[in-house]
Amino acid sequence: MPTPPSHERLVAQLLADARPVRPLWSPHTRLAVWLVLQALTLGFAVEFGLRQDLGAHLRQPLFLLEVGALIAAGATAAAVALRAAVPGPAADGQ
Amino acid sequence: MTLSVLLVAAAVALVSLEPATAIRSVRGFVASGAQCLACILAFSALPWIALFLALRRGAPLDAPLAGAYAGAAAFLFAAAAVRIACPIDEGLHLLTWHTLPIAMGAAFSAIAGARWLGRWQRALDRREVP
Repeated sequence: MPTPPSHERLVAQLLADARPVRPLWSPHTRLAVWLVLQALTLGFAVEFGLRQDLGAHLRQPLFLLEVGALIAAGATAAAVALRAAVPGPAADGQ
Repeated sequence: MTLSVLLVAAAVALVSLEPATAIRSVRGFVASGAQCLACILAFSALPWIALFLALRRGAPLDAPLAGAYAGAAAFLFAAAAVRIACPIDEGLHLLTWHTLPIAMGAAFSAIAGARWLGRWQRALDRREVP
């Protein structure tokens, strides 16, 4: 089936406007960089937080579960967001 | 998505297990909460901007949803940081001032996503075929 002339004109116009682009880092790499930034944030909170009894709290399973669930959910949401910005099944490579 | 929702639900459930103490003064409740809210906003600002810019370099097909994920991610980490730093363990304080901002941040980010992450689609739509 021949390509409609309007499609060919659109492709020609897109090619005429095309500029070199820098390839995106893979979602995994961008997630790793973002998680490093977040680790620094958490480290800042541990170092400069107002809680005097943090050592005792870090031995409580409920407290660890709360913080762990928040961090795990945040990391999952970031991974899904970065993956959603690169459509297509072979997104991991680009 | 489902995993994220489950983990947030688990965090909320765990937070609600903290002791519920009667509010002694509304002013104190709001004053201490405002500090936590400000800290969550401060902790989430830079990571949110970084994640949002990273998404903007891509091409999200569902811009509001991608924005909501980005907001949820930044605010969840900020809530974790403030949970570590904040000395108040009362359930009502945690639900109101630590958990609610996550939902509000995700909603705000979804609006921002609809506004700024879908520009590539709108630009493509505007392109007229000669």
